[in-house]
Amino acid sequence: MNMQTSVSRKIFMAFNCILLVGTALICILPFINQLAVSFSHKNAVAANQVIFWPIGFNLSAYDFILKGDAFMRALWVSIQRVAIGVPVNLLLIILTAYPLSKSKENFRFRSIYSWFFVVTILFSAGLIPTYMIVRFTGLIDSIWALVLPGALPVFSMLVVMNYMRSLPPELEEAAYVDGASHVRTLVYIILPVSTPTLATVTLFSFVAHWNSWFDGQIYMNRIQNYPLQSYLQTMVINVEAFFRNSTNVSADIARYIELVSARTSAAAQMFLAMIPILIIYPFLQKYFATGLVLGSVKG
Amino acid sequence: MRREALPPHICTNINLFAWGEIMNNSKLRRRNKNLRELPLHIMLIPAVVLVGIYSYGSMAGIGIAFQRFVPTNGLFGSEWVGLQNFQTLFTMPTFWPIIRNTVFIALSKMILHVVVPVIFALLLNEVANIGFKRSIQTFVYLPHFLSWIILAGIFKDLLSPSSGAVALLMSPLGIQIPFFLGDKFWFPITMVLTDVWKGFGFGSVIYLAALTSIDPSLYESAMIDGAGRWKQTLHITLPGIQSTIILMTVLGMANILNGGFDQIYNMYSPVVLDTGDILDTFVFRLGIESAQFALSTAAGFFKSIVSLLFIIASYYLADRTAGYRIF
Amino acid sequence: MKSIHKRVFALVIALVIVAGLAACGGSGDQSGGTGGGTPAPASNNNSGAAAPAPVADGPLTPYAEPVTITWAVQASQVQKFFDGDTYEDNRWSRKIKEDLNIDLEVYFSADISTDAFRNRINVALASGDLPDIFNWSDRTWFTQAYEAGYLYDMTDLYAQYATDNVKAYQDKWPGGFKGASIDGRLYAFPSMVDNFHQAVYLWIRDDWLEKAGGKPPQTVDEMVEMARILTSGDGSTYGFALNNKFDESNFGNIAGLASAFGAPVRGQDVYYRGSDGKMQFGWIQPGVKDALAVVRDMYAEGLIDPEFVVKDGGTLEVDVANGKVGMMYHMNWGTWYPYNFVYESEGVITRPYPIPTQAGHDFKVGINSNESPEYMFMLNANTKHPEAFMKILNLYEATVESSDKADNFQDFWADEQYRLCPVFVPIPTELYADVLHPALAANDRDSLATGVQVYYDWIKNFEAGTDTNPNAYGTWGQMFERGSMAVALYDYSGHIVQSVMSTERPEIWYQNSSILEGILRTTFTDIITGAKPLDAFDEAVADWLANGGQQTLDELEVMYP
Repeated sequence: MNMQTSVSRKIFMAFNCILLVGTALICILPFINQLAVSFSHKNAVAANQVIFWPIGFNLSAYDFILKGDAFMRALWVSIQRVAIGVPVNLLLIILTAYPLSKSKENFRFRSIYSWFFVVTILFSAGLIPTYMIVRFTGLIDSIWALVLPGALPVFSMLVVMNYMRSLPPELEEAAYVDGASHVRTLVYIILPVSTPTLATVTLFSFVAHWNSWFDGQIYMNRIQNYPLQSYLQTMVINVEAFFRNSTNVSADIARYIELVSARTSAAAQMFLAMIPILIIYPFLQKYFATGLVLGSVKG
Repeated sequence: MRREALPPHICTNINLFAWGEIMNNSKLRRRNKNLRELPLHIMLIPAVVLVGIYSYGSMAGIGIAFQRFVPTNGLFGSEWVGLQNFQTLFTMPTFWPIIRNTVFIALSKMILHVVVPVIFALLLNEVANIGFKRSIQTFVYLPHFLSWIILAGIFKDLLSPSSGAVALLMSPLGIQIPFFLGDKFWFPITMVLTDVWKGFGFGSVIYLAALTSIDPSLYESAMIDGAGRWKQTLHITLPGIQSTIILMTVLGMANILNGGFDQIYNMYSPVVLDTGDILDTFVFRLGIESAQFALSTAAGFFKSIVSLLFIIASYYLADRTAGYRIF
Repeated sequence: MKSIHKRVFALVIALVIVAGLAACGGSGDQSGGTGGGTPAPASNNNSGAAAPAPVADGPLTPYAEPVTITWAVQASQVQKFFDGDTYEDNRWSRKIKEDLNIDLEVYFSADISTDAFRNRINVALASGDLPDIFNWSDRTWFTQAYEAGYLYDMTDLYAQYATDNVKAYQDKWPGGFKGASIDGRLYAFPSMVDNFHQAVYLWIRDDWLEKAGGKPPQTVDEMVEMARILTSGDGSTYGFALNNKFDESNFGNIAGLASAFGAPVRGQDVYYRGSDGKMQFGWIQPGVKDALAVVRDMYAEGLIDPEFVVKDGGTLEVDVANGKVGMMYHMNWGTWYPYNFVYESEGVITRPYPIPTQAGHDFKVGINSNESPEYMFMLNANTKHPEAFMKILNLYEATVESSDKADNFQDFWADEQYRLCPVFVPIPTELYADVLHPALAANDRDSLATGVQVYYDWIKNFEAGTDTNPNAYGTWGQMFERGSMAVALYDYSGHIVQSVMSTERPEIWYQNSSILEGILRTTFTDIITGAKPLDAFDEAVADWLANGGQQTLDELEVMYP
C-alpha cells in the first residue's frame, strides 16, 4: 500500500480528505450556529446578524434556563434512567445473544427463541395495551417503567448474536473439550473478544434511553419526574410568560428582558441538553476505538 | 416436550461454574444434549420473562382492532365487530395517501441509510492518519446521539426561509432557499435528508467494524497480484463486508412502514399533511389525540402485518441469494 | 423435527394467550368495581347513593379523619405560584386541608398548553386509570368515559350536598348542566355557559391603528388596505396575522372573514338551520370561498407572513409579543392573551373592533350551543368519598364567589390561583357583562356582588391609569364600553347564529370530525398559499360531504328537528 503511491492515488486522497472534512462540517455547523445564537444579544439575533459567531456576547440565556430548577431536575431523571437502563440492556443482550449464537446442533431451540424475540420487533401492540401492562406491573411513575418494557433491545441483541456467531468455532470447541461450562465459556472466552460489538450496543442503548421522550410523558405522572427529553418536548419556551410569572421583579429579570429572547433561550436549552452527551461522548469514542482495534486482532 | 428444559426452579441450585466439571467427569455428556443445553435455557429466562410480559402481554391488546372498543373492564368487555374497523380505515380518504407517503419516506431512508454509510465507511477507510480519521468520526457521529426533540428545534430554526442560518448564508449568493418544512414538495425530502444526516455517521460504524475484520493478508496477496486500489475494493473489501450489508438491509426491510415518528411528529405542521403525514403519526393522532382507540389499533395492526410480510420475504431473499441466515 | 416445531409454536401461542389473559384480568381487577364486567353506567347510582359516608353530614363539614382525594392537574406555564407553592402544596391545598380535612394528592400532571395533558388523559381513559376528580372539556372523551362506566352519577350527590349558592347556578345557567347530563342524570359539574361571547373580533394595536389613519376598518376592503399600510415589506412586520390552524377558535383565524361573507363558523361544532330550513355546516358555505379568495390575495401580495403555515399558536404568540404582527381576527379575550405581552413590554393597548363587513353580504357570527360546557369536572365512579367533590366545590364557592371578604378573591382567584382548586365554579368573566355595563356607566359599585366588584375596580382603575396589572388590562379589554362584550351584545345583535348541535351527536361525527376537519384545512391552506386554485374549495366540500359530512348533516336533521 505504501510502496506505490501513484499520482492518481494522491489526487484521490486529496479529494477524499476535502470530501470528508466537508462532510464533518455539515454535521457540526448547525450546532455552531445554535451555539452562536445562544450567546448573542436578542436584538442581534432578531436582526438576522448571527450565523456562526455570537454578536453581543452574553450568558444570560444560560443563566435564565439554569435559574429554573425544572431543567436540572429533568436532567437528573435522565441520568438515573441511563444509569439503570443501560446495564440492564447490556446484561440481557449478553444473556440472550450467547445462547442464540449457538449452532442448531448445539442448541436445538435456537430458532424458536429467535423467532420469539424477533416477532416483538414486528408486532408492537400500541401504546394503550402497553400502558395497561406497565400499570398492571405497578411501574407507573417509577423509573423502572422507562427501563423494563424495553429491557431487551432485540435489534442490538441480533447484532451481538451475529457477531458471536462469526467468531471462529475453534474457540468454543477448545473450551468445550476442556470441559468449560457455558457460563465460563461466555465470561472468559466469548465476552473478551466481543468488546467492539458490546461497545456498539452500549452506545445504542445509551442513545435510545437518552433520547426517548414519549414514554416519559405517558408513564410519569408528574412533570417533575419527566426525563429531560420529555420535558423539552412539552416545554414551549415562552420567555414573556416566564417574565410575567416572576412574582418579584429583580435585577436578573430586568437583564433577561434586555438580553434574552425565545430564540436565544431555546438555543441555550438545546445546548445544555447536549452537554452530558458531549462529556460522555469522547470517553465512549475512545473506548470504542480501542474496541475496534481489539476486534481486528482476532482475524 | 422435554420437560427438564422448562421448569426454572430445578435449575436454580446448580452452581453454574461447576457445571462444566460435572459434565467433564460424566459419561452423560455425549448422550444427553439436554443437560448441556440447560444453562442456555436458564440464561434466556430473564429476557423471555420480560419480553413475554411487556411485549407479548400487551399484544393481547391487538384484539381492540376487532372491536367496537369501549374502554371498560379489560379486553373482553367490548363488542366484537370483525373487520369493520379495517373497512372504515381503508375507506378513509386520507389512508392510502398516508401509506404512499410512508412508503416513499421509509423506502428512501432505507436505501440511503445503507448506501451513504457504506460509501462513507469506504472513504474513511482509505485514510491512513489515525488522528484525522478519529476527528472526522467525532464530528459525524455526533448528530446520532441527539434526539429529534433537540434536532427538530434546531432544524426549525436553521431552515426558516426568513431568519434561518441557511437562508442567511444563501442570500448573498442570490439563492432563495425553498421552504423546506412548510412546502409539500420539500417536506418529505427534507425528512429523508435530515434523517440521513443524523444517522449516516454512526451507521458507518458497523461497516467500519466489519472493514477492520477483513484479513489484511488478502490485500497483501492482491497487491502482489498487481490489483489496484479500486479492484481491491471491489473484490476484497466489498465481499468482506457483504454479510454486514445484507444484515443491515434485511433488518431495514422491516422498516418499510416506519417513516420515523419522532422526527416527523416534532417537525410537521398541517400544511404538509398531504405529503408528510405517515402511518405512525396518523395512528398517534387517531388514538391519542382523537381517542379512536379501535381504529388506531387497527391501523397499527395493519402496519405490523405488512412489516411481517416484508421481513419474511427479505429473510428468504437473503437466504436464497446470499446464503445468509440471521438466525 | 417437524412435530417439535409444531409443538413449540403451540407453546409460543399458548404463552401469548396466557399473557393476554393475565393482562386483561389485571386491568379488570383495577377498574372492575363498577359494573361486574358490563358497561352499565346505571349501576353507579347504587354505589353512590347506597353508601352515604357516616361522617359526611353537611355541605362544608370537615372530615373527622383525614381523607385523601386524588386529582389530575392541568399544568400550565401561565400558572403563578407565590411563596414557593407547588401543585402539590399551595394556597388551595392548604385551605382544603384546613377547612375540610381533605389531603389533596396529584394523581398526574401534564402540560395543558401543549398536547401533553390531552395525550395523558386519553391514555387514562383507554386504560381506566383515573383519579378521583378530573376536569376535561372533550365531549368525545366524556361520552366514552360514561359508556365505560367511569363517571359517577352526581345527581343525588348534588341534591344532597351542594349549598344553596351552588345549586343556584343550575337555575341561572341551565345549559351547561344539560350538557353535562346524560339521560337526565348529572355526570359532571360544568362551566356556566351563555355563549354570546364566543363571537369573533378584529383586533388592532392602538399604535398601528394610528399609523394607518386612526380609523378602524368598516369593510373588508378597508381591512385589506390597512394590512397593506401595516406591512413593512422587508419581513419585519406583516399587516395581517394567520395561525396555521386558522379554522380554530384562536388568534389568527379566518372565522371573522368568513363571517363577513355570511358563513357562521366556529371550530367544527357549528351546525345550524339555514334560511331554507335545511341543516348546514359553516365551513362549507360559499362565503368561505369568498373569504379564502381575499386571504389568498393578501398572501400573494405579501401581507401575510409566508411562514404562517408552520406557525401554531405558540409561535405566533411570540410574533405578536415582538410586534411583528399587529392586526388579526381573535376571540374576545385578546387583552388576556396574547396582547397582554404587547401591553407589558411596550405599554401599547390593543382593542377589539366589530368585524369589517362586506357589501352584499349579511354577516353572521357562529357560536356553539349553550349546552356545550367548556369545563366538565367529573368524579370517578369508584371514588371512596364522593361527597368530598361537593365539599370542595362548596368551599370554592363560599371562598371566591359569595364571600364578603374582598381579599379572598385576590388570594384565591386572581393570578390563576383558582386553577389550583380541583373543582371550581367556572364562570367566564364574560357572563357578568350584563351587570357590569350598567354599573360602570352609572358608577354604581355597591349594587354588585363582592366578586364582581373586583372586576369593577380593575376596569375603573385601569381607565384611571392607577392599576396596570395584567388582570386589570385583561378584564378591561372585555368589559369597557367598546370592549368585546359590548360588541357581542350590541353590535352583533341579530347576527349571531347558534349551533343546534348539543349533547347528542351522531356516531359518525365522533368518528370522522377530525378527518373532515383535516380535509377542509388542507385544501384551505393550499388555496391561501396558491398551491391550488380557488375552485379546489368545491372539491373539498364534495369530499367533505362524501366522507361523512352528508351523513352527519342527515343525522342531525333527524336528531334536532
